[in-house]
Order: sequence, then C-alpha cells, then structure tokens
Amino acid sequence: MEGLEIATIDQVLILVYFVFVFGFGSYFGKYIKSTTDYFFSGRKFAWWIIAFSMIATVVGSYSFVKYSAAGFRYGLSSSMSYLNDWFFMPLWMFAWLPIIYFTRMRSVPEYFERRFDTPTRIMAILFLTVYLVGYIGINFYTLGVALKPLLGPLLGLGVMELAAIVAIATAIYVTSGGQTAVIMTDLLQGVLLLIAGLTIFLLGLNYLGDGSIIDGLPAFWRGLPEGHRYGLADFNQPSNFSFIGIFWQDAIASSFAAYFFNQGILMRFLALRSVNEGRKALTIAFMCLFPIAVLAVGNAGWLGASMFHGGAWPDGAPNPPDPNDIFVIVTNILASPGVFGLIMAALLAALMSTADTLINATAAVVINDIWRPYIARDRSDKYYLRCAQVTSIVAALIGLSLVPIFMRENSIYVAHGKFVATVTPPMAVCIVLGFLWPRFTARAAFATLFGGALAMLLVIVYPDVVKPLAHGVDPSGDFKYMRALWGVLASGIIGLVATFLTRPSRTDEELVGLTIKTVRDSERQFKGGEPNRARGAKIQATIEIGGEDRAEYVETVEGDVIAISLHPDDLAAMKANPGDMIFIADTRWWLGGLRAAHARVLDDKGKKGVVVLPRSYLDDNSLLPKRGVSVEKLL
Amino acid sequence: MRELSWFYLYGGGGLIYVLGSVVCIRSGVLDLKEPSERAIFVATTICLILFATGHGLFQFVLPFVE
Repeated sequence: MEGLEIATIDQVLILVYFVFVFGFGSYFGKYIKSTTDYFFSGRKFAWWIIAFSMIATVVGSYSFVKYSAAGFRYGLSSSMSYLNDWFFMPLWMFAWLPIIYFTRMRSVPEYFERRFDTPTRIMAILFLTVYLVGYIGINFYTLGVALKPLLGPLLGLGVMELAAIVAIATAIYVTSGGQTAVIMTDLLQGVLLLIAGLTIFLLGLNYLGDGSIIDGLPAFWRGLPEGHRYGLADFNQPSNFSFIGIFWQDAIASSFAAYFFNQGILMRFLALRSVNEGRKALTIAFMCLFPIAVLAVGNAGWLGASMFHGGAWPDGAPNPPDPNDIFVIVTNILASPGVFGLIMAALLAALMSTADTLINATAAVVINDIWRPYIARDRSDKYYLRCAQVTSIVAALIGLSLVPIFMRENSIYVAHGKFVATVTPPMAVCIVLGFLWPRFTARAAFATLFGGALAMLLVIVYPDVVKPLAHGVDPSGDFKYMRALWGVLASGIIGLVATFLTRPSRTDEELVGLTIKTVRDSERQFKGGEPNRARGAKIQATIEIGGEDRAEYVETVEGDVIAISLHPDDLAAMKANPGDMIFIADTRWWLGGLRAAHARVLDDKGKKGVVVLPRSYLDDNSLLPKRGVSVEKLL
Repeated sequence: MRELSWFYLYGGGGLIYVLGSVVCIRSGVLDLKEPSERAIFVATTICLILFATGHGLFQFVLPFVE
C-alpha cells in the first residue's frame, strides 16, 4: 500500500489491544466446567449480550475491507447485504429456533440424524465441515491482508505470518474459555467496532465540512457521483455487483446459511436463557444494530468515493487508491495518530470475533457429530471437554493451512461468494423441506444433498447452464453470483421428486419437535409439562447452602436440573407452580447471566426469599453465596 | 433498472416474509394472542416497512437531491 504511513504509536496500540483481547478471552476459562459450558455457555445469557456479540460475529473479518471496497466502487448500495436478512425472520424466530432449542440440539447435523437418518447426517457433517473450515481459512486470510499494512512494517512479517500469529492467539483463548470467551470478547468487540465505525463517519463529515460536521453532510452528498447514491445496486449489472446476484447469493443463500445452519450463530442463540430471549436478541439486532453496523463497515468507502470524486482527495494519498485498501487509507487520512490506532484495533476486533466463533463451532460439530457418536462413545464429559479443546486448536491450524489457497484468489469478495454459493443451496433446501414438510423423506433428503452438490459442481464446470436463470446478467463473470438460484431450484426439484418416489421412514411420534407442526409438543417435552404462560414478577432472594447430596435436588437426569422448594408467596409473585422452570441469576444485571443457573420448582415448602442450593451447584454455575439473586419463571 | 431492484427485493423478499408468517400462524407456532409473540411479530413487521421506506427513499428520491 504505497503512500501510507502508520505511526509507531498506532502500531503499538494495535498490538496492545490484540494482547488485551487475548487475555480477556482467556480469563473466561474459569467458567468452563463441562461441554455444555464450552459449547453453549450453560444456556444462561441475556438477549442484549447476544445481540451485541452477534454484531461482531456477523461483521466478519472481511466486512470492513470488503464493504468499504464495494462502497468506494459502487456507493451506498454496498449496504444491501446487511439489510436484507429479514425475509426469513418469522420462520427462524417462531419455528427453527424453538425446534433446535426445545429439542436440546447440539449441532445442525444432529438435526439431520433425528429428522432423517445417519447417512444424511454424515453428508451434512461433510458439508458443514467444509463450510466452517473454509470460512476459517477465509477469515485468517483476510486477517493477514488487513494486518499487513498495519503491523507488517513494525514486525517485519507478511500475510501468512501475521495470519498465523492471530490464528494461534484466537485458538488459545477459544480453547481456554469456549463459547463464553467467544461471546464476551465478541460483546466487547461489537461495541468497539460500532463506535469506531461511527467515529470514522463523523471524522469524515468534519473533514468534508472544513471543521463542521453539519456542513459536512451536504458536502459528502454532493461529492458522491449520482450512481453511488442509490440504496440498491443496478438490477443486473455489473456482473460482479448486480442487485439480482446479491439478492440470490446474499439475501437468500448466505442469509439462510447464516441463521439456519451456521453452527456458530446457532450456538450463540442456544447460549440464551430462553427462546424468547433469542427472539428479542435477533429483533433488536435487525432493527437497530445492523443498520448501525452497515454505516460502520461501509462508510469509509463512501467517504473515500465522495472525497475522491468530489475533489477533496488530499495530496500525498495514494492516487488512484486501490479499493481493497480504501478502509485503511481513508481512516489514515481522517484520524490523527492514536485515534487511527484505536480504529484499527476495532478492525482487528471484527477480524478475530468471526474466527473465534467458527473455531468453537467446528469443535462442536467434530465432537458432537463425529467423536461422541462414532469414535469414543459413553466417555465422561471431562473427556469430551478435553477433546473439544484439542479440536479447537486443530480446526484453527487446518483453517490456517488454507490461507495460501485463498491468497491465490484475486478478490476476497469473489472468493467468499463462490464458496458460499457452492455449498449452501442443498443444505438450505434440505432444512426448509425438513421442518416445513413432514412428508419429506430421509432418502429424499439424502438425494437433495447429494444431487444438489452435483448440480453445483455442474454449474462450476459449465457456467452457461445458469444462463436461462441469469435475469440478463452478462456472462463475463461466469454467473458466479447467480449460482445460488440454480442451486436452490435444482435442489428443490430433486427433493420434491425424490419425496414422491420414496416412503417416509419416520413415524409421527419420531418427528415430534422436529417439524413446525410439533413445536408446541416439543415445548411441553422440554418443560416436562404444560408451559405456564402467566406473566409474573422477578423476585429477589438470598442463597442458602444446602446439603451436598445432589440426589436430593436433581429431578431430571438430562441437564442435571436442580429442583428446589420455594415459599408460596414467592411462587405467587412469580405466578409459578411446582414443575415450572426458573432462572436464578446474580442480581448484577450487567453480568447478563454469566453467574446464573436454571432450576425447577419442586414444591411450595421453601423459606420466604430464600433459595437453597448445594455448594457444588453454586460452583458449577459460578453463583456467589454472599450475593443476592433474582429468580424468575421461564416456562 | 434501479426501480426494478426495489420491487424485486420487496416483492420477492416480502413474499417470503408473508408466506413464512402465514405458515407460522397456521401451524400454531406463532400465537398472536400471546403478548410476547405478538410484540415480536409486530416489531419485525414494522422493521420491514421501515426498511422498505428507507430503501424507497434512497432509490426513488434522494439520489436526485443535490
């Protein structure tokens, strides 16, 4: 990146931040006591933690680089990808989330086993592993690309070496703190990157308005070429950034993949204390946080375009600038030394927060779908926890080994798009038909995955196959962005035909909880009775340490849920009954569930304002006996 | 062709949203009599309308404002 100078103070700040995140993530290792903690954080978190951490996860390592580059080239329409995830929201929030939450699903392939059969699960494992490990590789590659101009001169390292350093550090803190480390670092990094992105925008307006942010807004608008001012791209041109390509690849294929079978994102929502918290988290993320994130990740490109085309491009800055470097160039122009370092630290935050999610997710698939069911059955939970930690490191190393492959691709956007468009359509169709259509058979599901994959391979070898579906997109880009439409149609047709040619292998009883029509049944199974929907209050209580014999308390074997007695007045305030699930949490709301536990109401023979728990249960859930707790009914 | 992008997005995407909502209501997983579920559904629908309006402004009006 010629013409770009990074001050030493900025480089030091970036290094310090990197070390801080590493330490911060590793700190949460003390909360990890089981595989449920390692993969799902004990299912205890509040909606706001997940909503903010989701921002850091979705704003991936490629986002600042990719969307700033697209913003510089094409203008405001680069925001499309973050604002078109809402199509599937009703199905996701009211059908898919309850299905995976209430059935206590640990991975997406596990759904394929329970809904279909083992061969279909194995096929799903293959798809998902390729999807996740490939994603890790892309993330480490973009990490190296983004860090090279920032830290390369200071450390004398190239793309591969820098990617390796961050990969190892990320793997270590994920290995130590599991999902809790992932969530807490992503929470921190999500807030940071939103602040950093908005800071760049305000600095840009200030620059364009000659010291006035208010004057900067009209100046920014005037500097944008007319073609850069649209919120949506032109319908079918250019071939690598047309509306129709982005619609089918990003809005349909990528969005569906992200929310329905991206193991990392699903695990994030399974870490919540209840399904309703998940709905709240996603709604707030879509309504408020994603639009802010759009501004945060794209505005450097928009500002760059306005400055460059509007005659405000400074002397000495790269001219013409490489769009792939525009985020760093514009930030370097606008921010003074020190501030620039902090903003770059936020970029690093976005980079690491996607990679950590993927590493943890890959470990979950390997342990829950391969190791536990097929290689080492019926071992202790501690054994599987150790395996999960080793797998996290191995996943990071495999992802790192893919970096040289992605280095050969000439565009990050194209590399990412090709990968996603190739792998996702068969999985997407299989999941949709699986939970919406009870008649969809196991053999049809297998045929959909296998045949859909072949159809995608066909279109890679013979791109012109897509031409009739291309909506007028010119063939110069081999219709790469239209492959998702082809994949969805081909997989859907295969699934439909195969279903009518085969017989269902699952009985209605076996499908309870796995299809949309049986979600309410699954909710009853999860609770162990009819859900209590009466709205009660949250009560305050003190902790009393009871006997150590867990058998006195444990009512259900699955999940080792404690059953405790509460006072009739407390039950009345919560509108809770014996058998209802309750949530006991440290009264400090800002912990967001970090110190909390699930329990079940045994009877109404307890003391008023007191919960009695064994010491080991307090330790397992990091509850402090000297602290008060809040108690609320969940179901 | 810029106009077509807006109509395609909110026609195609909107259709998926409406069909998804109908399927959820008819299958009983979305109970509009339940206050928490109704609140979430209303919020997401308002969100959709706001996005459509915002994109409409940036597609049909603001690009021509100097």
